[in-house]
Amino acid sequence: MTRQEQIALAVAVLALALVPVVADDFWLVQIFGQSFALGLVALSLNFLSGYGGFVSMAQTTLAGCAGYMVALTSVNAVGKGVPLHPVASIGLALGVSALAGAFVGWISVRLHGVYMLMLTLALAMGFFFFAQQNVELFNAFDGIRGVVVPNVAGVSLRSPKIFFYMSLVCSAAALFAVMITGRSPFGLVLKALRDHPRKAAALGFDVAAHRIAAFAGSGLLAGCGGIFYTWFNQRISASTVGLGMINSVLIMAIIGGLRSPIGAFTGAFAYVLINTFASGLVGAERVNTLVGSAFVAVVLASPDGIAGAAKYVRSRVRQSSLFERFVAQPASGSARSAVNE
Amino acid sequence: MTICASHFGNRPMTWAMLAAGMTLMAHDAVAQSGDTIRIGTMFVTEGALASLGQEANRGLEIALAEFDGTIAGKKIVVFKEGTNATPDLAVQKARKLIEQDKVDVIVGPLSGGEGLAVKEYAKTVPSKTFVNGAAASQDTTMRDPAPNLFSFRVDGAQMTAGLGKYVYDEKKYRNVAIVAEDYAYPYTQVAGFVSEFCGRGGKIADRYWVPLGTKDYSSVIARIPSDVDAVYVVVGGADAVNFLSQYYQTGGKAPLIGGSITVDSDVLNSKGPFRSKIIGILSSSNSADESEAPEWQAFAKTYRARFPDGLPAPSSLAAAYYISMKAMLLGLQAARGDVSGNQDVLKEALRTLKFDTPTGPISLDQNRQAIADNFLMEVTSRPDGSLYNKVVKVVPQVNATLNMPREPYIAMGAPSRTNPPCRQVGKVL
Amino acid sequence: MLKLAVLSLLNGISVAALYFIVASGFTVTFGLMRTINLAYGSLFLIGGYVGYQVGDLTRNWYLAMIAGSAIAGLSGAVLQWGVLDRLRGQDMRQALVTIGLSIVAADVLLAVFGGLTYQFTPPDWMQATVSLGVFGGYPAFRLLLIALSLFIGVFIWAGLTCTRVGLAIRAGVDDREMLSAIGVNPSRLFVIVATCGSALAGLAGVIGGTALSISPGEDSRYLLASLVVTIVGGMGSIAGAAVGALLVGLLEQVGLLYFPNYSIVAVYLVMVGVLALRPQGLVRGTA
Repeated sequence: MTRQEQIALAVAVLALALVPVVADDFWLVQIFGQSFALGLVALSLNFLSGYGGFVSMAQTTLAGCAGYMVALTSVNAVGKGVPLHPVASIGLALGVSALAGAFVGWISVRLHGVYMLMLTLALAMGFFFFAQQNVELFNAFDGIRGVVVPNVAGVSLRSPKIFFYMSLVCSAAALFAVMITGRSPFGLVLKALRDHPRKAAALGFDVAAHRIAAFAGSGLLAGCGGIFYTWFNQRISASTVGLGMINSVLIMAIIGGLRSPIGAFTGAFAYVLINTFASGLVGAERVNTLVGSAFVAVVLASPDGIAGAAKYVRSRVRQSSLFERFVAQPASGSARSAVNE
Repeated sequence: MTICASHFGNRPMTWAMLAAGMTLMAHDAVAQSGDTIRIGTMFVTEGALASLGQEANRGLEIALAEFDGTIAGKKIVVFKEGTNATPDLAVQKARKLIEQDKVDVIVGPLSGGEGLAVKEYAKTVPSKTFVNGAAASQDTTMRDPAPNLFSFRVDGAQMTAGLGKYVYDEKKYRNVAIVAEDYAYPYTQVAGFVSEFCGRGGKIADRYWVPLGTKDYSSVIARIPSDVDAVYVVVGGADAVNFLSQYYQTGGKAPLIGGSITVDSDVLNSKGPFRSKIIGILSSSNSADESEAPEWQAFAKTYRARFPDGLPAPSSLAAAYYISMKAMLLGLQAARGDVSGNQDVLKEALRTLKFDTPTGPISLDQNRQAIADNFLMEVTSRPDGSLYNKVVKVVPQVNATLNMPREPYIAMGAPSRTNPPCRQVGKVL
Repeated sequence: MLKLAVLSLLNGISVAALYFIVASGFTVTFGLMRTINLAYGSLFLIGGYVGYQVGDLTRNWYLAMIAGSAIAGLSGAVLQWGVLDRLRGQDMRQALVTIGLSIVAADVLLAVFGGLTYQFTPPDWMQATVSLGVFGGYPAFRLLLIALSLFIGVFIWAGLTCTRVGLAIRAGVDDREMLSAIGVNPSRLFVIVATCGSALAGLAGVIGGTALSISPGEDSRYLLASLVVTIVGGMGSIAGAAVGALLVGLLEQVGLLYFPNYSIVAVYLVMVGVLALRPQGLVRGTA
């Protein structure tokens, strides 16, 4: 992470921290809170894909593991599970999602590219159908509803401002952690494995262990998102981990750009905005056409999502400015994106 | 925009979108004014239930047209949201309507799972008023209800009222197998049917629960014992089309009894050779396509005039949303358009509302659940070859416990794959 | 009990036949171009819907079949030529674009054809019920379906073995670089294969709509089925698709009988197992 990026991130977080001054509860929770929750799930995909080159369709499922766990260890309206202390509940949920992540990493350890995509899709669909059919634990199609979000010092964590700040802080921390990881020895090994798996293995790095650890980490990120998303809806059901959501998370990550971690949140924000307000633009019935077309346009126009497109425009602007043309080295932006930050 | 924004930092789009967001937020600041009533409504627009949502929209439009856009001098503004029948999205849309569009009241949602989810949400906004659209899950109102949610729509069990008794007494069926989809709505219908049929002394040979979205039922059909008197089938939409055609293709002999979604207008108007085979299937529902009642005739006439591209007759979903929207509008009228504060006047008006609908008089019980007529029907062919459900019997004024004693009925617990067992309960029938 | 076993075996095989027809186009396309066309289910649905309209107008089921294949083949050609070819070599972006297109297609088809269910009316002789002696009646169309899938399988196999295009495809499946070396224009070959593969999807739409039915949501169902069959069998392999389809079909039907709640879960578990242990699929090699 460059110094410039650090500053940008800090400024963005500070600006967001001021949002509650102008925004009402709807914007705090449904737009921003939801964007942070989904952004965390998209970030887990972004992390895997950006550093490891794995496109996993199972991130929604990992989030769902944590979501179901937190729902089952909270007071809920369907009487499933056992209510636990919030700390235990959250800890257990994150533990489960990290373990599930490690499992996905372990089982797909030999695969790349579209094969990885298919295996993770198969796992995700298997989990979805299981959750939809299992009455004993998952309460089948109807899922766990009426999940009570814990109180801390008499204040519900679901109250708009608390929820907003909590999800903001968690997102910022996760983003920071992902960026730091990118420059850590672990992150560098991941990138080496992505770009030159044979050379990296020849240098003595344990390919399997690194992959499994990366997936476990992504499970942790997705798990955070899953907990927030379950608290946000105060419910979780099979449809939360269904193909629609799986596609949506993928769309967010791609629209935002897989190369930059912050893209996960821009993507999630764009997605939530479109999904919430498109009914006012195109009528209640054709929202999917709009979302789908936007997605296709982004994938076709820019391999790197909104962030990539912005970078491209910026580099073009710089190149064409007199200063750039005569003094500075050209094409700094695109050159940098080519080496994957 | 992007170019200008690039001066701000490294991620111009973040800023651009933040700016766009702020603009949208500022837009909401146009607060609600005192001389309008904002009604939010939601129905399914995507996925397997989308055709039901289309009918729901037609029904509520007819109700709105009757009021000419004003109530007690206040202008009615309607906000519509589409869902994909998932509970998650239903709650998000309800929240959007209340918090963003600042609606005073909500009419909806459409499906059972959504209904349970919106009920939980309704509890968190106690000052607002919700009228159920067409959700037919029992616990929308029966157990742990929301005090601000009113359901003028009967639940899945109520829609079976009279069916078990009729097939026992008139058709002389004694031993019936059940094939139903594996989720809450069919559980509820089966519960209603079983408690009546077994209450009379009937026997259930077996219950086969098939996953939602099963397309090939032939193995299940092969498993139905050959000595049953009839098969009660609660399978909807495309799945019903598949079940019905496969049942007759594989030479199924026992007569079928349909659930409320098995031979509804959605299935009867689907295209395919199965249609010639299903004439005569008995079923029960809260509305009948060709009811003789003058209110229904008038409703159907308006429907056909207004929606020439619609179905030959309004479906039960069109009727449900018409009734729900009309109940809300009548309640608002009785409250003289007062939606301020806790909306107590409106809530009281809805609680005591009783009105004649196309499907007969409807009023609410102590849990704010509809008491309404139920219809037993047979699939019949019109002269032009299209199919409809012909009324065989009207079961008047069915309440939420199928007119059985309330306490023991509720004590049976929520319907499930095995609950209620086939016991001779409810002898009062 | 024996009756039940025989009938569910027969059901499993007839479902497998349908899956085979759907997946055969998918597997050849995938094997050659390494493109997972996730809009394949939409082509199935387009073929089915348009085929239905034609069949309804002309009262001719065979014409419906031709029209369904033609429109799906045409759509597939346009998709390949207009979109996928420009992204050649970037298989992830191709997959993503087709996901987006499938979302749009599902929405547009819903707007045009509504949410009702369509079922084709085949010629009378196909609608008959064949008596299987002590095993009771069985729909003739299902038996026909099994025969048809065998015919299509042999046809594709012959096409791959005996024609020049087939030769080029097999060469391409093994080694894509070979193509240019033997003087084949990859773009043209890819469009031809995409057209044929998509036409098979459209054909399957009409056949599936006759044996079962078509309605919104069937696109993702058949796409997932094709994915599972292709992966389990091994990509690019017709024999593999047959094995995969049989396995999935039987598992589904037998599962529905003995563990109805988790029969679909079992199908995906098989896919996971195959991918994890034998990513090249159960049947190795090409065509």
